[in-house]
This record gives sequence, C-alpha cells and structure tokens, in this order.
Amino acid sequence: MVSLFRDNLHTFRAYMGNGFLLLLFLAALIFLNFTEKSIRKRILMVYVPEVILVLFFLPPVRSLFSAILDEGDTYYRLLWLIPMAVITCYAIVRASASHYRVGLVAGAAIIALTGSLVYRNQNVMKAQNAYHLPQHVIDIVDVIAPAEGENRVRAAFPSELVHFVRQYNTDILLAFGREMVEPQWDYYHPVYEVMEKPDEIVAHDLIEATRAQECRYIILNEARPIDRDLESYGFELLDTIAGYKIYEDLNLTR
Amino acid sequence: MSFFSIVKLIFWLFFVPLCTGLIPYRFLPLHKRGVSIVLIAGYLTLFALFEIVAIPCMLMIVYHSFYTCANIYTVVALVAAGAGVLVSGKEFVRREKKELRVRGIRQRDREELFYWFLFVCIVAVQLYMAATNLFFDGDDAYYVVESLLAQQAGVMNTILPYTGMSTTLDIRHALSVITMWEAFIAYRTGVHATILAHTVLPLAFLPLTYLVYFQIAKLLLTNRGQLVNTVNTNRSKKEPPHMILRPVFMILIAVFMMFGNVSIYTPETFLMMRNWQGKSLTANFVLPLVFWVLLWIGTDLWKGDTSPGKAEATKSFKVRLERYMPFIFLALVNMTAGICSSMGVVLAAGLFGLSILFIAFAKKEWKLLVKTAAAFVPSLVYNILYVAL
Repeated sequence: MVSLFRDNLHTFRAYMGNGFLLLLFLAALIFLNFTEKSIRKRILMVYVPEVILVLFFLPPVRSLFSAILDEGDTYYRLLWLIPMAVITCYAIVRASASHYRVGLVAGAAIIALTGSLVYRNQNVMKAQNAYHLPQHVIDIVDVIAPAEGENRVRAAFPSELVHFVRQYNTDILLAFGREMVEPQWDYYHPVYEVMEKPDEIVAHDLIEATRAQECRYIILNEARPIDRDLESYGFELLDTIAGYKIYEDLNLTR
Repeated sequence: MSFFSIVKLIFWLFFVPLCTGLIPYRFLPLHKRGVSIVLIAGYLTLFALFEIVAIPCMLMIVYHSFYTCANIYTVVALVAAGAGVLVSGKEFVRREKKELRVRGIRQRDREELFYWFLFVCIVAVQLYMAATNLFFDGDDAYYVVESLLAQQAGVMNTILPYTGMSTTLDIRHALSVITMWEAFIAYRTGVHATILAHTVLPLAFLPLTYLVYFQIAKLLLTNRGQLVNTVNTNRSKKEPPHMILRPVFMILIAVFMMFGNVSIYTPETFLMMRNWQGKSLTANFVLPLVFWVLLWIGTDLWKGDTSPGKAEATKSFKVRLERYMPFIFLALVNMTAGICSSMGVVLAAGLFGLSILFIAFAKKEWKLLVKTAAAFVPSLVYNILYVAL
C-alpha cells in the first residue's frame, strides 16, 4: 500500500513537472470553492475534481486501474479527468471580471511564466518535409525501396532511424524496430544484439545475423566502429547519405 | 500535395462533417444551434458511424479488409451528409444568414472583436507551428504506420507496424480504429497517411478542440440569470458582458495549451505535439466533450426550475426530445471514445458517472441515471467485445 502511494506521488510529480501550473490550478480550485455560486459549476469544477484528486492518491484505485486496463504506466491519465485548463482559466476570468483587461494580461503572463512553452521542447524541430520525418531517412529509403511490383525488402537500420523508416514506406521491412529501442521492454533480437550493443561491431557476427533474417540491406552509421569492411563479405556499398553507409548483400540479391 | 487533394481534404474534413452534423442540428434547442456545434456533431456522428463499419470489417474480412471498409464507409458517410442536408440544410442556411444579420461583425462590440482577433491570431500561430515543425514521438512508429499500412496494403491491424511481420489482432489497439479513419481520409484524398497525420490533421483537430472549448465557454460564461445567448447592449461597468468574457477565456485557454507542456503527460502536450493520435483525441476532444455535456445537462436542469412554461413545455414532443439531446450526444461521445482509445471509454465513463451522481443527488433527479445508462450502451458493447476478443 505504501509503495503504491509512493508510486502515485511519483506519477503526480512527473505529471505536474515544475509544479507552478499545479499551484495556479490549486489556487483556482480554492477560489472557486469559496466564490462560485452556481451549483452545477461547483459540482463540475470543484467537487468532482477534488474527489478525482483524492481517488488518484488512493492505492486501491491504482490497483483497480491496473487490473481493469492491464497497465500501470498510464495511471497518470486519471488526471486527464480534471479539466485543469478550464478551471484555471475560468477562475482567472471570474476573479478579474470587473478588471478583465488586466486579468487577461496578468493571467496570460502568469500562465506563460509558470508554464513551459511547447515549442521549446527538445523533441520539436523544424520540419524538413511534409512527412515531418528526417530528410536523410527518406533519402536512404528511396535508395533501397523496391520498384513497383517488386517484393518487399528487409533492412537493418541503426536504432536511431527505426522509428521513421516505415512511416515513409511500408515496403521496407525491418530486422528490428522500435520495440527493441524502448529500454523498458527489454526484448531480445539477434540482429540488434550484434549491431547495437557492442562498442565495436563484429562484421562476421552481424552478417551471420542479418543473413539468417534475410536482410538485403544494412545501413550503418559511419561513426560506429566495425572490425572489417562489409564489402569484403560480398556486400556492395550503394551510397553514403548524411553519414550513413547503405550496403546491399549481393549474396541475397543473386 | 495537389490542388485536387486539397479540395478532397476540405470535402472530407470540413464539408462532410458539416453536412452530417445537420442531422442532430434539427433536434437541438434553438439557442444551442450554430456552425461550431454542427461541426462537432458532424465529427461525432461520422466517428460513431466509422466505428460501426470498421470494427466488423476488421473482425470478419480477411483479405483487403480496409478497402472494403473504406468503400462501405464512403457510401455511409455520403448518405449521412446527404441526409443532413435534406433534414435541415435549408433551415441551417436560413438561420445562419439571420444570425449573421443580427449578430454579425457589424453588430458586435469592437473590444469583443479585438479579443476574438487576438484569439484567432494565437491559434493561427499554433497551426503554423504544427504544420511546419516536426514533433518527434516514438508512438508514431505504431499508430501512423498502422494508417499507412491500411492505405498501402489494405490491411487492418494484421501487420506488425514496427517491422512488417504478420501478426494477429492486438485487440487493445485494434478496436481503437482512429488509425483506420485516418487511413480512410488518406485513401480517399490520395495524401500519404504520414503527411496527413503530421501536417494536415493538426489543422483540423486543433480548431476542433477549440470549438469544444468555445461550447464550454458559452455554458460557463453567461450573464447572471441569463442562459440564452443574446447580445448584451446594457453593459455595466462592474459586470462585463459574457460576450466579452468568452473571447478572454478562449485566449487564456489557447495560451494555456501552448504553455501547458510542463511534462510529457499533460493533455496540452498531447494536443500540441501529437494531436493525430487517439490518446490525444481522448484527452482533448472526448473528455472536454464529456465535461460540456455535463454542463449542458446541469444548465438544463437548473434552468428547468425557473422556467415558467415548464409544465406546458414538457408536453411538447420536440422539447422532450431536446431534453434527450445531451444524452444522444453523450452516446456519440462514448462511441468516439471507443474509436480513439480503449482507455478513453473507461475514462469517459468514469468522469461522467461520478459527475452525474453528484448532479442527480443535488437535484434529486434519479431518472438521470437511467438516461445515462442508456447512453453508455455503446460503451458496454465495446467493452464486451474488448473482453471477449
């Protein structure tokens, strides 16, 4: 029970980030608690959120959530039931109704100062194309993609590219995909083991694994050390794009 | 993207939902009617219809199930849109023309217009950023590829998106057919599913979310004792009219959305960074809609107390039907929750169930629970399928 409560606390902290918007929300909740006269609004914006907050911290609720939905790592979504944005903004509007111009400027400024601008997120960058995928992935896939009517091809991509390849072209099958990259899943895959885990790739092991998987192409990051060149094993270097070498296994082509 | 693709996108993402939304429009109370609610109702109806078409296709058809699903749904959606036009197309045009005359730009307060302009500018910036920035999210390797596989290979969740291996139905994800709906739009418009998800859908889903918040604002910010929307010409210095406060509220909401990225878990982060995914629609479309329906029910209930013609009004079939409308919307929202995420069904039920208990208790209106139970029948069927499969 105590550990479940700690988990809840941890989830709550992770959800709230720096905690300033939470403080703003709590202030809004308290303000509405004392000033809101409409019963329907009190129910929906004070009582129900308060009950949900209490329920969130109860360990049996987490157990029930995991049992029903078969997952514990999404418990934070229970907090989605509290319309924090609506409650906070409504309270600002109500609190400053008679001076709404000041309220608007001050409210927007407080939200901006206490919150975090989404466009500053490290996962946001300028799109290079309409697919919103890294351009070099598209260029690499264009080199190895089968022509119309040809069979699909399998390729081994470095883990930093696997998210994007099939978002562009599903005719490329992957030796391993995103399921190998997420550390919490901890799956095993023979190609991933020899391609991504060692500090220096052993070419012989890599080729053995990719041939067993019928991978026609291997894409290697130039920065990754490898003990021997793949060309000495019957591979052809098709191209080098943005620091990635594209090899084709001629043994599988024939 | 060709000119024809853009025209088709406007057709499927704006025109068809607008026309379909005209079906429930006819049965809405007069003061609720408007373009925004028609669009919301249109999307809800189309999502619900898609769920009815897509899930049987996915479960019962082995080969090229998506193409069959797409063909059936095309007919269903076009029939729904046509029915909407027939049912209340004329009335909608007539009423909206009248609204423009009575409450058009010229009739509005300059300050109110300024705030709306400010709000539109903020949303325009958000749309520009959404269309021109790459928001990396690992889950796209699953959801977007599911849509692309449907578009390119005609399969519905039977190929593992990560690698391309064949697989059995992963029911947890498969019942959430929003990926297939996106594939349908991609298939019909000829736009690559990834371009659709990353560049086009944010331009539809972000405004759609704000339309829901606008509906919430309309119910939250009414002049004291006044629940019907009217232009307030008698502005008091102490109490500004709700027509001014609504855009102020919407600006704050838009700012909150932009600065709500305090962690990767908040609905605001989901809205701004991956609004094409079902879980974002759950957090930013379904749950706000549940809140709106609750507000609507609450407003009707408390208004009913003071309504002088209550006894007479309840005799009228139309008024009685109007009283059922929030529950009809709730049923549609529940079906939309199912198409978005299996968890969405549970979350929507949880929020609504808890809130309606409070409302029923406060008003001693226990019949509400029966109406609520009826509105949750689609969710029940969905959950039975989820467990059985």
